[in-house]
Amino acid sequence: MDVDEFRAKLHVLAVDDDRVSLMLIEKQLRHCRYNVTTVMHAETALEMLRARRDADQFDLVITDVHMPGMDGFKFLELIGLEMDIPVIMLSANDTLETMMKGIKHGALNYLVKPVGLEQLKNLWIHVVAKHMDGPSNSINNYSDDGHHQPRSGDSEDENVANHTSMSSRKKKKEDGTREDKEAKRQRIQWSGQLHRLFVEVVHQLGIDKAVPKKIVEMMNVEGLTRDHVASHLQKYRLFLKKVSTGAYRRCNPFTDETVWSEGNSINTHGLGTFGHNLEHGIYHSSISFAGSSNSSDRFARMNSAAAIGTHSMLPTHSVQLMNQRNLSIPLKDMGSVGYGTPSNSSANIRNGSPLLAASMEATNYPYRSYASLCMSDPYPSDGNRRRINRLSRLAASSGQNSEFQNQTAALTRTTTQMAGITEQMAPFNIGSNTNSIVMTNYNSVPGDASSVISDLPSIQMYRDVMESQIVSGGDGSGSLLGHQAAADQLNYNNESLIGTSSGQNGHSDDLDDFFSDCLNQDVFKNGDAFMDGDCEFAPFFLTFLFDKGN
Amino acid sequence: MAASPVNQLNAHISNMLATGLLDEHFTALRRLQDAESPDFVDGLVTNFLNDGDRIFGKLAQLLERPFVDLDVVSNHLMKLKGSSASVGARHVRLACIQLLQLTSQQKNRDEWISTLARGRAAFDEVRREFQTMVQLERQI
Repeated sequence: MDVDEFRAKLHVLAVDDDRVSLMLIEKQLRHCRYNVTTVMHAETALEMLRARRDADQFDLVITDVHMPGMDGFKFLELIGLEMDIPVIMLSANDTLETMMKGIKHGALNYLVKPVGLEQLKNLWIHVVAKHMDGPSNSINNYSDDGHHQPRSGDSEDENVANHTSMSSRKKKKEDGTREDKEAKRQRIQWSGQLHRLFVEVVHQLGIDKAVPKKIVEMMNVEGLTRDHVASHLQKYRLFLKKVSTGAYRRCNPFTDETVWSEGNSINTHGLGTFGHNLEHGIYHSSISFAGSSNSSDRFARMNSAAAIGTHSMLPTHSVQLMNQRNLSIPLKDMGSVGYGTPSNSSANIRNGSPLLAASMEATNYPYRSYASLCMSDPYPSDGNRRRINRLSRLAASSGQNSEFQNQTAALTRTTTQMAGITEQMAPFNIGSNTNSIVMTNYNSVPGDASSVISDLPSIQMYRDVMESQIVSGGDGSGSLLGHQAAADQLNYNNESLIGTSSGQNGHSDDLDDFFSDCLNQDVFKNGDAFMDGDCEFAPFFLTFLFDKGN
Repeated sequence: MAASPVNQLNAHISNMLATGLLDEHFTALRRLQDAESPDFVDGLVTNFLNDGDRIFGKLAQLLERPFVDLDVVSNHLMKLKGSSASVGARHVRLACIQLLQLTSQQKNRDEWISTLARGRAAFDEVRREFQTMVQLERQI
């Protein structure tokens, strides 16, 4: 399949109150072979999107910014909350503030009118990239199947045969690279047990001294490579940092009956050197989730996995591919914009630990995909299953496509740190009652070297944290990763954090949905249930709390 | 002897491009027109002219009020900027850019009004030229 054919499978929803612009964009998109639906009001568009939540959902939304009634920003936010479809903004407004605002609200790109065909031709990349973050199946299909038929068993198989000579050539070239990667990419499933062992070993070594090589040796698990541990360690470090800087204050679902009851088997780690890094304030605000931002849910998507404690297997390349967007879509203007002053915001973060400070550059982005992968695998909801299938169909049929392979390979190169992602939160279910307990215990933990915050982290601080974390972890993640994270995180500007009136009601629903979802381990319902993805390690974090509290 | 309608049309369009009334985006527009939508450009241009007319009318009305809501004015201007950009009407688009700058800077009213007048003149010019173009096209 070539790119044209792939575009022909995509459904785009274009929204603009200016009929001239709308007529043009429709014509242009059709010219690129996308399927297009046009509406002039965001409210109408939202209805359509909601109606298609479970079937035939649009793949991409292109929307104007300034519209009467609901404007593009609000529209964007709601899409992010409810459907998480990629959204591109398209406007005559080319001011910095507006463009940044668009990205902060979650747009994956911002095009200035008049937009040319060339810019539209590659918008499909956002669709693929967005799905990279999600369920793993599709990614399996098309990144693994460089050499063989897609597993989805669709009628697209015959398309596979229709290679252009160019893609065949490229495929051959990629095969070699792929084989090299195969050895490294052996998947590892980080079960709860394995992770506990990992944590224990890390504790014993001391977090500052825990190097992958030593960890691997001490863990002494067959088939576990240094690379597996290295990536897991990185994630763990990021988790700890985030935890201590209050990033988790919105993660509510940490009550974990399992932990309480059988928890002793995991409570053996002790706080060790981590204790002082853990942030008190976090759980205070977790209960105030209801008041938090709509947009928090976007990143919430990530955390829920952790919170929910799934134990799915994560193919490594699904996470690797999450960076695909960065590589493919150089939003150069946005690269350094908006990350503002990471160093300044770091100063605001009350965190003296060198470990934490050192890892401050990490972005949320990896967690997002990671957690959503965590969540996704074993129990996709119907809607999600369809999404998985849809993308499988889309992607599998293009699985031979050299572009995808290139991107996959590129991602593999740049994201080896992310390789071997897994989840381990297996036994942890979520409830709400332990929150208060956690808070109580935690409060009594004496602080140590680093900052100990016994009151609620301020919203300002939280935002600063987020901003600091947005600074892209420069492993090729580049501008787009940065601003995807920024889009996720910078949403928490004032009004967002406090919650808009429309959001508040939505949030109590979100909570209810979330808890029931967690219990059902079906986290994709409505997208409301998503929590901050960084909480994947949280249950383990919880164990520290329990320990200390004892 | 009279040039063929097609030649006349092309000459007319070339002229509009040469004077800067239209930009390369208009050329791209024409390329989009195909057998499936032979009236695409005409339809687009006609919509632009109608909508533009309406916007200028609204702007004039807004200016007559004692207190001018600059946000509303900006919104109108932004719309016009977008639609003119979409059809490649360069002079109109540039006028919108100027007006938007003036609006955000909240420059004095007189300067704003004179710039608006220039914008209106540019719009009228492109309207005449577009109408000629549409007529020529219909003769083909």
